[in-house]
Amino acid sequence: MAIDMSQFYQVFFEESAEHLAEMESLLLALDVAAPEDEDLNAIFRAAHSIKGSSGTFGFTDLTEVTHVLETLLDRLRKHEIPLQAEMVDAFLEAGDLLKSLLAAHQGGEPVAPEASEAVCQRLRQLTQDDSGAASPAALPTASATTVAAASTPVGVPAEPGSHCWDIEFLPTDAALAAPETLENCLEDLGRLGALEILARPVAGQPGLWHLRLSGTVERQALVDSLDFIADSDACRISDSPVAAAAGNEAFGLFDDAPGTPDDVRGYGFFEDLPEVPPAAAVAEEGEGYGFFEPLPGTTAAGEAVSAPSADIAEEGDGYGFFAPLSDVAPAPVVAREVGEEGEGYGFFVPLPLAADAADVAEAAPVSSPETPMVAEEGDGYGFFAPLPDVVAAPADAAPVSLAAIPVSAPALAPAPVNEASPPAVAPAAERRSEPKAKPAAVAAGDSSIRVGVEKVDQLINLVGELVITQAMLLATAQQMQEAAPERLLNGLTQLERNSRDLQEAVMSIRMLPISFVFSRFPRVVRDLSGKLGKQVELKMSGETTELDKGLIEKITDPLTHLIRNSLDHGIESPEKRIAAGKPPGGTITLKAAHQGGNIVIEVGDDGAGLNRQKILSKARERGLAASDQMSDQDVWALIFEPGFSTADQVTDVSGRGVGMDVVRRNIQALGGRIEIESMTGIGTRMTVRLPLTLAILDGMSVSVGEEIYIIPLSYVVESLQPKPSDIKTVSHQGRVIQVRGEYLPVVVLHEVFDAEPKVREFHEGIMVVLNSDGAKAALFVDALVGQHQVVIKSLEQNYRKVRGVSGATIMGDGRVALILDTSALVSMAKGQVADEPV
Amino acid sequence: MENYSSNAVVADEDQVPSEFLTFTLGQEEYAIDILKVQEIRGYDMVTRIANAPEFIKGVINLRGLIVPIVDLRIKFKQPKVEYTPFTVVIILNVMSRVVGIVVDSVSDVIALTPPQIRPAPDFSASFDTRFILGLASVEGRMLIVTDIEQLMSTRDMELMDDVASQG
Repeated sequence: MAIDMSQFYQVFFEESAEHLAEMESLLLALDVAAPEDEDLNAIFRAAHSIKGSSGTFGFTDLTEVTHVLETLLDRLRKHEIPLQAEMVDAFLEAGDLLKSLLAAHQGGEPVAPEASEAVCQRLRQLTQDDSGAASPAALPTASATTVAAASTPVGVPAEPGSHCWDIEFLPTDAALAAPETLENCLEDLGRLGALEILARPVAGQPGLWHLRLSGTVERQALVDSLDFIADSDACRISDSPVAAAAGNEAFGLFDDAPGTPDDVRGYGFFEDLPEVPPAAAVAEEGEGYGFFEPLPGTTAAGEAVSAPSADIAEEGDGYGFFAPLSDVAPAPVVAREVGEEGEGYGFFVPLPLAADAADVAEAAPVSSPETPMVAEEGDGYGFFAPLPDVVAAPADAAPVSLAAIPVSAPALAPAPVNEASPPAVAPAAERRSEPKAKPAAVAAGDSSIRVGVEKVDQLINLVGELVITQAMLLATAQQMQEAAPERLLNGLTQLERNSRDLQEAVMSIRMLPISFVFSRFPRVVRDLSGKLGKQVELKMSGETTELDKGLIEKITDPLTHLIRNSLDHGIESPEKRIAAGKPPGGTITLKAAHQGGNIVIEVGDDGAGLNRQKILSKARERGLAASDQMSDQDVWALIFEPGFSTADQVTDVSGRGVGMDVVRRNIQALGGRIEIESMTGIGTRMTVRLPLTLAILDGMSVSVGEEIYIIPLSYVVESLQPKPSDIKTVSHQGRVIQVRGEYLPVVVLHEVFDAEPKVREFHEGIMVVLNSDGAKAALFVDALVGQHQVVIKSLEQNYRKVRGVSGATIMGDGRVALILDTSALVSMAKGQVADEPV
Repeated sequence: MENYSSNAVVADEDQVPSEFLTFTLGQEEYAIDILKVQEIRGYDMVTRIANAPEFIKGVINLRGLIVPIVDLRIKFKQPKVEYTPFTVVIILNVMSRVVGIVVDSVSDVIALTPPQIRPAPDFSASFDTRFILGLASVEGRMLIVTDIEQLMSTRDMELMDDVASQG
């Protein structure tokens, strides 16, 4: 079966990247001394998923590394060996290696096999260390991997020990296509215990596999392993007769395991899940209480009897829905019963596959006390989802059934259940939260969808249009005044509210929490502080602050740089810190918050602070204008000069002087700005202010004639109405205006744009003082209109670049307004003064 | 167009009609490939663009897109240019750009088969004959079949950036 796998590659890459990211964040959060079982399991699952899917797709290099990684993780999570700090390092390293391997498959640089081998070697080394210390009393996964805390397990407690699992599965098409995946998996299973292959189909052909595995293995491990080669509904794992133990667990349910005389009375849910060997009942629980989805396995002998649909239907008594579905199963009988309830009435959906008709008929009718499993309910309402099961001897099979007794039979105590449950074979109820791994994966898969950014942008545009249209309608209706029926106006008001909400919701699609950026910094700090021999703690807050996806991508590098700077230059070495009377460990704080229409990101450290003298002397060395009279702010600003570095020596971390100027340039390119505050000995704080999205600009609108123009607010210093005497001419051509003792060149917008103004006299109009990259100019316009947040639209998409215009926007009334390119205008002013006299 | 061969075998494609939108500029009637037309709308308030040639009226907001508007009547020196509620803008989709043109009126959509489009003689149309695919005669009207894509992307239209740099 040739399947073109390449079409799924992208999904694989994305998924693997997600798994790696998850793994890394978990590793970094891991407390080495006392790791959480849940975290270890999660890390293991991430590694395992990568391994499984890379195997499926034939990326063997990835499979190899993850395999070694997984082996070590597996031992860790089973508490066979204790977690050590160096393991975390090794895991992180392996994570990096996997990332580069992934990148290599995506067309990046190939990874040297030695690098890969080195990491594997290290992991193997760690795996083998202390192997003698393996504790055989590995915690049963039943309690380790489930949310046992919330449960009230009654009945047979989980027993550690040996199991003999019967495994049957139908490989997926993908697994068939890649036989090595199957082999891998078998090998995996072989590692878990003694593996016996009872039946295997012809290689490459679909067919039922039958394996028997004995060892101290948990079902979860098997499920994990099989997950990659068989769909969960195409594999069945049952505890073989040899095994006596089974975990019993319920979430607010009472499980009555026959054989365990447990006299539980109460309200709530009673669930009887007796398991008659050699069948296993697996109850899978979704969403909490209401759903019972037992999957009783059956004997290999095939004498199974299953849930009698008939009797369920009979006892319905008017409540509930019964939907028996019969089907024919391949060989061994499978009884599958789903008890699902809602609102106090039950839904019984037994799905006996290939139920033996006779047995079904025999099945005890409603409330038959001999029924081995009886679900009893306390208060009259209740949900009954007993599990039908299977008895080895067909003769005894009659009572095998499920009986859900409504109010009519409240007297039925659990006791008879136990008596009734026949064989001394000690059927064990088994409820395992097998789907543990799966819900996690499912949750992750369900909580997001991948959508192209252009689709989202299109949506944003359309909604923007809708808002404008709605505003227009409302304005029209309001003009009608009395003539407009009140209902129309009310409707339109409602529409306005709805469309605003819609717009907000749509805009939020593009917004991502800044934790996407922040999440990488713990790693950066960890690696770098190790390298520099400093103790640094990174404190983050405001990770949930949302900003535009485009900004997220572009702010990462500048922020990384700032953090590296803080680490390298800010935080002192532990000795110096102790000498200065500070705790040896430094702290870097990373904060994000919304402030007005901006997002503010602060990178602070409690290090030495900027050294004013050093900066000044370095600046002089480099021939920059620097004097002792400069204000602190001006001095700090010097570090943004290209090539400026105060590091005494160049390290591979920093000191080359390429950096802060790039940081500032990048941040400015995003429409933001950066500020420095510093105190000697106390620390430094860099504050980055960014607009919420790239597409929105804070603008001041001005008018010239009929047209409205937008000036980006960040470039506006002030605006004033000049007195005629303020304007002077230079060489009869260039005009300058005196503003606070400074002479600024005047740019007359209507002249530059060749427009028809309403105002020609300077003293009747407005001068807007602009500051672009340190150069100032005064822009003469007719009037100020207001201040808006405008959405930036490209003019070049359908037209061409226009000098002095950086883009366009759509105003509230649907008209287009041009956004002025202030730096071009300011340089025009310079040109004017310099050139025009010619 | 060798379909004039009196051969009995006429190529199939010759018989497949294409649809054209016809509009008038002054006395002349033009036809353009309808597949290049995105929509037709009334003439709205445009936003003037600084230092643009006179025939570029400015830009409009077309559902969030900024679309430049060219008045072909000015471009082709029609004597009478006025904007009434009936002035029509044809929004074109050419060269993966969206551009609007102002014309006197839009007449109708007609189907023309290739044989109906005859080569144009050298005549003085309002614009360069390079952009004229041919002439078609329908019900006594003469249509100038125009390659609107070529026309809009010429340098004199000043719609594209390379124009600006040379301009």
